[in-house]
Amino acid sequence: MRREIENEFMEEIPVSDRLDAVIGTSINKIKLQKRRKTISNTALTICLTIAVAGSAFCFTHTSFAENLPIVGFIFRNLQNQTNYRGNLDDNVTILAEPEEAAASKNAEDGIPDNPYITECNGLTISITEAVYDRGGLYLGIRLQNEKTFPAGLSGKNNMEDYILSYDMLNLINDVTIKDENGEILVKTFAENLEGNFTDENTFIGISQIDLSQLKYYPAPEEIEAAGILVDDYMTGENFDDKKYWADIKKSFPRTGEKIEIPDHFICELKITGIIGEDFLNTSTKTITGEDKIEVYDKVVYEGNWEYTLDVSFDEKDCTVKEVNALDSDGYGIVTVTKSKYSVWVETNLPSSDADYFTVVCDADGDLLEQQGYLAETYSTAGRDLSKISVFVCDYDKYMDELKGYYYSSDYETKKADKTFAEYLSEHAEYQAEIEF
Amino acid sequence: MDEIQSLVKKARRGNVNAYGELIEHHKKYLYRTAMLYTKNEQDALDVVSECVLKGFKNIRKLKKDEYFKTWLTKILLNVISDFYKKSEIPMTIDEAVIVNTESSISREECLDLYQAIDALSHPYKTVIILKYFSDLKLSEIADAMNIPQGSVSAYLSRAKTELKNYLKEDYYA
Repeated sequence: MRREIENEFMEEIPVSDRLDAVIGTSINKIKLQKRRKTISNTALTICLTIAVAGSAFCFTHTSFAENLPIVGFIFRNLQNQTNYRGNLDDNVTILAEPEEAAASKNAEDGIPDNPYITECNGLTISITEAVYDRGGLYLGIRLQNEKTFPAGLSGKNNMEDYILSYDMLNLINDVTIKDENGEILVKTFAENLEGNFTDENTFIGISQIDLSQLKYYPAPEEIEAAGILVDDYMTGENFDDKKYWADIKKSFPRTGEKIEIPDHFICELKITGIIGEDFLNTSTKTITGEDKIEVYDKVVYEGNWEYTLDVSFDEKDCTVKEVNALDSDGYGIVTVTKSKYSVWVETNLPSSDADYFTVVCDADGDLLEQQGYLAETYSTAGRDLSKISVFVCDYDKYMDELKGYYYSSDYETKKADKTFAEYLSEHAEYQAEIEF
Repeated sequence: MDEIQSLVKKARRGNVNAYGELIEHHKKYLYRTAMLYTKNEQDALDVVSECVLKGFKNIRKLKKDEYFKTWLTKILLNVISDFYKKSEIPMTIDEAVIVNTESSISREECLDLYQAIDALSHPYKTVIILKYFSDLKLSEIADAMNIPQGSVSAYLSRAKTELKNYLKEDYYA
């Protein structure tokens, strides 16, 4: 067969416009499973405490909490329940009042004339509040459904072994960051929506757009449009990555370049889907041979909800420390930034011989948790940040060996002799202590 | 270390983001290959979804980083195989997969080839798809199908002979 005909035959098959959503849901499911597995050890003590003190609250609710009052705004209600912790409501910008966002509940009220409240296919999505600390743009989001949400969407209310303190919905979205002249700086995305169902028609949650250390990479579609196809590099004995990335850099010279987000920028958020899992309904899927598993059914709300946010930043709550804890080759920790709700670390690391994992500890020597699932920012809420310790560890060593020290059940006992920071200082490849 | 191998390495260690990036690179390939068998958008999406989930679950079993695509193809074939065992729908290729018409290849040519491949029995059909649509090497096909490389060569030879019975001569070099 002629090669050009063969390739064209394959290219002839149109790709479903739902493919991205399906893959996004699958990846999100993996993250959720992994997250549950990861936090199951650390959360065990907490869960047991809750189970004893409030088992009725945790495990016996089988339906939505009925009409929980939303006192104040979303941040105030959720900021200590989700991964996005801290007093987000301190410097919040209110974009839609709760009464406005709830207006679509009564059809005769109509949808308020507010650009942050958008209705599509019976689902009104309101961006009610926002706060930006240079590390991330945090959004308070309210979903108001004309029809009732399936009760099974709430893992908190329906799963006995559900250990998260919030329910989660997957946001299918695109975020475009532009400068004040309208020039596109970067395309990125908002994280999952973490929050609670407040009644059968309403979900409130927080999402974060990580803007801490963005780099430019062309989108896969752009790479393909430039004629750079992965399959073309798979014909040799091995996949020719060097040539693949060299060609990408040739077509897109800015690849890998750090993107500076200005103090004033425009954020365009386009949501095209909300996906959740119905924990009360399952389907049987075949895995291998006779192996079958029960998987939760998906609940999908498709539509188009678009928002434009004009964001400005006040430097007063953000401190950048030039650390430059570098070896003779210039590798190591470059800067550490502490903002109102998060800390993040800029590193310069060799790319050829090892993978690394960056760990940040507070003044007590305890680990700071990463925000969200994909974010490179570390949550600082409730921690003593007068001194921060940063460690860059060998990835394998950290995952296979080092982190076990902190996650062990007797860490509190071991900590009296050696904190996690002190332990890491004996094993890290690069380290620095920063006082703020 | 190059970018893709670095992603594979991270994915093998359980890094979901890295795995997600790899899937992003191969998503169209996975979907189109699934569509060749299922001919139905929803079924192809289900197969891809299952393949993505199963892939991550088994990624620690990937022996060589550079064979990620082959390994993923193997999983895809298993999922497709299970799909047909479950649904008891015969594996056929028809017009459902051929929608675009703005190609140098005519619709009739497409359909002729698909129908010819469709008429092949399972191993022959799969070697043809993996060789000529997925562009895998013989060793990769052998790995994906769990058969010796010599068998792949034999299947390919027989498959091409059978195809010749269906197709016009000008499909061949």
